[in-house]
Amino acid sequence: MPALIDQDLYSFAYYFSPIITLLIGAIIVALITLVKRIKLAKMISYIFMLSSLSLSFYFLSRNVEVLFFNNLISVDNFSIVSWIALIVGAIISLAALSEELLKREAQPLLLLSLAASLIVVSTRDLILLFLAIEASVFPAYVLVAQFKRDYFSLEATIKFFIFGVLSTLLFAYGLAITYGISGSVSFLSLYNYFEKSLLGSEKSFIILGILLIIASLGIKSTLVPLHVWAIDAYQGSPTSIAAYLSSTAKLTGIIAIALLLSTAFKPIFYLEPWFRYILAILALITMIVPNVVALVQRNIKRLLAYSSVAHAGYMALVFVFPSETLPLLGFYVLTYSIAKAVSFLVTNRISGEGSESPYEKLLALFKIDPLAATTFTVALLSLAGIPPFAGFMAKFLLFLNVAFSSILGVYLALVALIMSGVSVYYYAYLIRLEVIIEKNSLLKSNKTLETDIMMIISIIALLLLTFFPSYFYYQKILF
Amino acid sequence: MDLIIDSNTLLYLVAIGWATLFSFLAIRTRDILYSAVFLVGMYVASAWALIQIGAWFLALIYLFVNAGGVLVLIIFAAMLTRPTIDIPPTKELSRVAFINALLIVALIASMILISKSEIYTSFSSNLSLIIKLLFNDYGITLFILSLAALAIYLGAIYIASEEK
Amino acid sequence: MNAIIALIAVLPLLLIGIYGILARRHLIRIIISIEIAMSAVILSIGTLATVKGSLGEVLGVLVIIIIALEAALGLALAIEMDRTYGSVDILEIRKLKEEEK
Repeated sequence: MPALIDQDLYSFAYYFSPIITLLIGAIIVALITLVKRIKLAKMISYIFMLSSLSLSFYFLSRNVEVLFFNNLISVDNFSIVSWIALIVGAIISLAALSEELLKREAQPLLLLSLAASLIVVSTRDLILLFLAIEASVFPAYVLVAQFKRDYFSLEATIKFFIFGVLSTLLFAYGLAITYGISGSVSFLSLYNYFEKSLLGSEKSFIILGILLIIASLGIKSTLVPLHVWAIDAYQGSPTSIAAYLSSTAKLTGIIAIALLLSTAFKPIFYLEPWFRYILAILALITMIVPNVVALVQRNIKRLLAYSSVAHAGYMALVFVFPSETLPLLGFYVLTYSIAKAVSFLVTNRISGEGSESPYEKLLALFKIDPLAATTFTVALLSLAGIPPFAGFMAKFLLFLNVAFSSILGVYLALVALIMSGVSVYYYAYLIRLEVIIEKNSLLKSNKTLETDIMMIISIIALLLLTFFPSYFYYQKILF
Repeated sequence: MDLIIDSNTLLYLVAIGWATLFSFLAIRTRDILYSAVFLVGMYVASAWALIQIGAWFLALIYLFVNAGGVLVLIIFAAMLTRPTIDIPPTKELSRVAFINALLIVALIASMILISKSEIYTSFSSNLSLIIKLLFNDYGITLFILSLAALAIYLGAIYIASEEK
Repeated sequence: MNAIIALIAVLPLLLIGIYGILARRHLIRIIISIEIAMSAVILSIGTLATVKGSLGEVLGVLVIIIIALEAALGLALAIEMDRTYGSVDILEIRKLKEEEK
């Protein structure tokens, strides 16, 4: 379908139906939770999320490309592929929600946060990006705040909240500076402004504004050194919410930075050559630090937190070369989302929602709960990048394209390969623990049918996706 | 770079000075309720500064939302929690935080000083333009704001509710 | 008047606000510091709006609303924290965590 520029509210409702479905679902589920029909509420949330997912797949097959409201929002290939990755992560964490959380307001908040994340990847304007990111992170503050468990949870909430507010302030100030110098907020006008490069002495000021915006989004996507909240937050929050945070919430930040760097801020790479080097340093330390620290962890949730920070580092390689490697990010986020969310799902099953999840719980898992053990193995192997799982194809394609981009890319890909190798060590340690036959008294695995189904679907998905990477490439961004 | 300093600028600087003084007092007092009172003073001073620049609409919204909403919330929260006496900060944390904050502000100041100055002559909030932008061009922002507000309503009520 | 004077003049306010967020221990005082830092940001947005047009004022209104919502959520957290643990001191949690171990 050729690109249309549309102002009509009806076509807006049509093209945005995945998002609107989720919003209607949030309201209905909130009402049903009010009358305490929990099972019905969960089934209805599944229905709404799955219908949202299938609508996205439908739009993907129809090659939709529409721009709305004078270049404010667009539904194009980039948005739809990102929607699919975000919704999948949220579905898996919905499956992980335990009974206690369901009684409270977890489901409508999850749906609201997901809807706002979907809006984040479709905006083409900085003001809307700011609002949508805030709207997606407010429910996350509430979801993490389940204090009844232990002091870890309280510390997690406080750190998450304070860093979240810092990120808001940084974004607001960066946005003020960017608007104040360039006079425009939408991506198209910013792109034109930088292309014509009418800047004089205020070049450094506006670059500072852009770096503030990227730093604010970097807090959300847990780039080092702004990742310190994430480790405690993922460990202290309930495990199902940690699944949501580490897949959808983190991916929102990463896709937002990739979006900004490929549309509005793309000419800066030619204006200021050192900009690329700053992003390269960011990607480097984000890859190196968490992989090294993860080697000495003794807690499953904390290890998964460090591994997610490391994956943010691999995805940050796309920021260094946005024009060459952006299409591969679409496939990478999908495989990462599935693998990370399902690994937290398994952790929830064997260890509950608390922050106490020592390695010893994994002992002899293959004997006690073989499905969970297989799923965990598959997920960890996919995260490590071992063939034939989907994570291998994602990492392979990404590192290859980064290496072919420039000499700097060769060095970055080399470091990424080495760090991936380091990560195989700690993943393999966990898998080895599962195989050891020893008496495990800590384990009480609560098996439910829906987690079983979700695990089987994830295993099949992670195996099949290896063979269809190009279906999920980002092909075009309309702005 | 020639600096134009006229009466408007001086009044603006007085307002900002008042705001800074009150915010410093708000941080340093021991009692939370006194802190909230100084915060009101800071709000009024910032609103005056905004009016001095000419953006009276922004000043109005600022006063309504902050002094009328957030401040009441702060006073209620201060009254519902105990103790009302401040916990003193730890020495080294305070030093580290000050150095960090100073670095950030120095970075911003240096970037500002490098760029050339824009001079504005006279500005007054153009209400019809603001309304047109907010409701016509950027109507989606209100949609997204309602999402955020709904999340906060659900969340805050759920967090602060008694039945647990 | 120059925009530079206005922008530099709000920097002490920003400094006090960021220092308060990072250094204070009482949660409500942290929220007050958030409001102070936000005031600095709003003043900068107001200044730049006078230079570049009314879209800046729309941005300012939206930022005010978002930070007010965050403050409301933070205060709800503070009330809950006080009810569960008896204090609003964020460093005491670390002490309690150590004790529990």
